[in-house]
Amino acid sequence: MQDKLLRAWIMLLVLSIASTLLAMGIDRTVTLNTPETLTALAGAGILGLALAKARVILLYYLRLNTTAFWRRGFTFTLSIFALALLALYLPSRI
Amino acid sequence: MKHAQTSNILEELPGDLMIWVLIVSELLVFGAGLAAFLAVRLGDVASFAQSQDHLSRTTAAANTAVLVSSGFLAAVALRLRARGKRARARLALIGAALLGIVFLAVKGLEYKADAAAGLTIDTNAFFTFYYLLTGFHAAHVAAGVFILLLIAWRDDPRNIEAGAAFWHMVDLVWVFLFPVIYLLR
Repeated sequence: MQDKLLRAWIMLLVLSIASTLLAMGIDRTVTLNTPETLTALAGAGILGLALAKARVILLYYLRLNTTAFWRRGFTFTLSIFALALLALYLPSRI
Repeated sequence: MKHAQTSNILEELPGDLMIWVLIVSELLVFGAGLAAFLAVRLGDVASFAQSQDHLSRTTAAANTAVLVSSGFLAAVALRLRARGKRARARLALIGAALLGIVFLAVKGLEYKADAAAGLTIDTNAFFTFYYLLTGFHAAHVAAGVFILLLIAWRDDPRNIEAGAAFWHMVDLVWVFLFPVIYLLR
């Protein structure tokens, strides 16, 4: 599939389904006394998928794939933001 | 020399610089809101988890698909307009706006169900954040729908570029808002 926009859209749909399934999967296992670390890993995975989606939107919808400087800058900043959210989320899980 | 280098870097940004200033400022506001949500959550994790269980993840996931699809149409519209295909670009923008209205309709049904269950903005901290953050986002979606229709009418390529960028910002906020509010246990 050569159309980058079409690929980006499909990737966004796939990533959205993946994060929802991950969350629902953890929900199902919570009642089975899932180790907190597993829930924490799932949370990290969900935030990682959010970051991946954000990057797809930045690169292909907002066209930052045309500029290495801004692509890296926004990716770096959003990564720091995702890590900050993870740092706020994890203390309740560990 | 330094001024020229700075100027060149700024010129690399696709579209208008001011729309990027808007995008960054909006991301900062919503980012602060989401960080505050998670910080407050640390004080009552159980209550937040119980409150989250009242929300419909599948409905919000479906709405995510609606919003990213809408963004796709807005991005396609810009490409079509650049190729001189005005009528098709306008159709794509109207399609994007219609999907935005679908998003708002689904959100409205969610709010209606929440209210019917007695879950309001002052129920607890979770729902205060929920209504404020998703409500503020929905207000941006509403503004974005108006902008999409406006640029479908006044379809100068620069208008479409700026309007589509605003719409993608709304998308960008949602891809963090959805998992933080709805998915993180």
